[in-house]
Amino acid sequence: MTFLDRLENRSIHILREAYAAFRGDLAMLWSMGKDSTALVWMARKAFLGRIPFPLIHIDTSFKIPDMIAYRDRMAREWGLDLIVGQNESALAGRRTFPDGAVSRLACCRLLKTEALRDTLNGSGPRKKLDPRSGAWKRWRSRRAFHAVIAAIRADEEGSRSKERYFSPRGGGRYWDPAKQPPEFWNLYNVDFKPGTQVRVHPLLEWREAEVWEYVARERIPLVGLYYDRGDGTRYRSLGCGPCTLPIESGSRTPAEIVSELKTGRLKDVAERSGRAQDDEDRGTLEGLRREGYM
Amino acid sequence: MRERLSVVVAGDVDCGKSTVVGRLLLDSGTLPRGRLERARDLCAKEARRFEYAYLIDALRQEQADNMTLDVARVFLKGARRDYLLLDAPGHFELLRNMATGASHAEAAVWVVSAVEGLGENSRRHGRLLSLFGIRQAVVLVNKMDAAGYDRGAFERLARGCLNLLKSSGVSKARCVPMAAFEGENVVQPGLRMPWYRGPTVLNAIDEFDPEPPDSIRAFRMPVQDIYPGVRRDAGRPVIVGTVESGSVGVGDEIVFYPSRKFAEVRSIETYPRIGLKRAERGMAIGLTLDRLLKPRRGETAARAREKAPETGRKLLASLLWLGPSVLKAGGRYFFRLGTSKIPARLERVVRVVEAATLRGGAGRRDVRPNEAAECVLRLEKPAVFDLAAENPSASRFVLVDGSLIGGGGFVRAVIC
Repeated sequence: MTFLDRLENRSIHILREAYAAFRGDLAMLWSMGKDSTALVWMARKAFLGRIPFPLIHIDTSFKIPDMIAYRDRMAREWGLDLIVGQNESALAGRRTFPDGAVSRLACCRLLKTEALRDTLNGSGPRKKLDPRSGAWKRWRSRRAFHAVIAAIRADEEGSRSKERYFSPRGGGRYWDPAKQPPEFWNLYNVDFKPGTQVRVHPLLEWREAEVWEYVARERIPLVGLYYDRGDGTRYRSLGCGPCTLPIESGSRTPAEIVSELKTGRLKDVAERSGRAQDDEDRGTLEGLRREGYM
Repeated sequence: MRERLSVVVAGDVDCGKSTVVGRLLLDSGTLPRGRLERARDLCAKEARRFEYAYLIDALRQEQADNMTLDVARVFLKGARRDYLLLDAPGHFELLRNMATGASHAEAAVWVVSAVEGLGENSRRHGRLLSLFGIRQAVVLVNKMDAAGYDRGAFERLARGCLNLLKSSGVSKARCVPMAAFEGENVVQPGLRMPWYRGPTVLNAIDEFDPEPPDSIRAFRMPVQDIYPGVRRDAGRPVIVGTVESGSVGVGDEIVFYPSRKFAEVRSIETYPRIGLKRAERGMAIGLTLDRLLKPRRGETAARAREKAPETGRKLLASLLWLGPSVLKAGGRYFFRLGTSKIPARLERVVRVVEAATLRGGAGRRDVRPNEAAECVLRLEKPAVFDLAAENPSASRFVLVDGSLIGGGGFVRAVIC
């Protein structure tokens, strides 16, 4: 096995452990970014073609339109059970950064952290994609998800480097990195008390360049925003339009991105340098993540 | 693509561990551009002295306390390969995080201070490395600047460390004198210790052996789950799992333990690829069988022609207990090994090997948090495993206390 095979197989093992432990309690976050899309790809492999749990997208309504079009197209092509959650009341009340009402950080908190919490516990508004008609329908179920798979990676930023593969979160989903239980070998914390939540992180040990090598090897179709389409810019990290900036880069394919990351001009530039909210949080996402941000 | 080795960085609080890692990142050219400037600016803004440790100690609380709180994963570029450094905390109370780091590593870097020497907590770290399967280590004798770059001081401390590692089972070890804050011997050979002719820290790490291939050991695959079959295979159930050791091929006769049901492997299922003939260690696969058999999660598959695994209900185990509560004789826990989860009782504490207080040893009825011990466990149902001396990856287990993992270790012997 190559090193990339080893990474892939470990992630598949973790996905299967999560499903064995949590069954109907389990869901996976999909942001349409390269990491979570690579993880959707691995989940299709792990479960032999059909992912047996729903995917969740938290829609801030400020996502770049290409991402939404890509989401709906891939969901149909891959037969995904897709749930979309949104903080409709914050959006209706215009309590957002683009509306000029709150800071970037407060906006993340409302449209991502709180929307995620309410989508998982079933109290917030949720939509589901009808695979036949391709139409979105309000999902009236109260079903809650206590275990959630997230495609975070340790090399993205400091607080994520401290995560466990299986991370039990206390009541209120508050994360205290100083009080994590041990996690030995491939034996994970899969038992949890009622009212608590488990986050599962199968991509923790992947690095950015490795994800791109995997995308290239597996020919995973990604949203075109990652590639230069003629104007000499592309996105390196995808988020909300108002807070995410493209970088100058002429890479047009996954293979070109790999060489740009390994030997080219992005060799030693931080991945999230185009994400404005990180700067408000003292250079880390720690504050947001303790409250339940991905 | 370059290979990557996982290395745990252990050492007592104040030995300068995070400074070592910060300096390694900087001098090896691994650090993203702007990270050093950002850490310097932050320190200037808050009127604090700059520390290399701030490069990695990202969490707010640790910056406030000057202490590493949990395992941080840090990627490092070596000359021969890449590394994932697990920067484990040194504080006594946070031993669980160091043990977590050691359990995921293939080698260890153990940092000791030339000034403080080998204190009790430092000795503990050295001894615990082997308990989690570490067999190779580099000892960094740090803060040589504060010890006057004295050869005698280095050699005395190095001897003590190597003896301790050897006696606890770390067979391959060497020592490097260094001064992390000054950058002496980190990546560039130092100028202030002309008496030392050995490798720098990064070179010593590059000399670690990669994980050895596993062709000699018997096939073991704990059953993770049973998935409904794929259409082209007439709905034959697929038994999924990851090959823990050895290998398996189409046509092999396999036996599931403890039920001892047997069958022949009809196909190895991966998606979307079909037609895989053989699967080796580390591969996450599915098996279909030549007869309708539904083993359960928790059973272990082995090959009929190879050595059978051990089964037993009463086991001698060595373990590290991390709490938060006390592990008590008579107490009830869950024993988890492979994919099995079996109710268990701690029958007897044979001896506390590594005591948190000085009153350790024999005659104890409990194991306190952060203590290592040998214990007898009695399980409600038989477990399937190998002994630590023969196949460590099929002998390791954890004990679940309530809903969380409280400790873990290896099965040493079967009593019955």
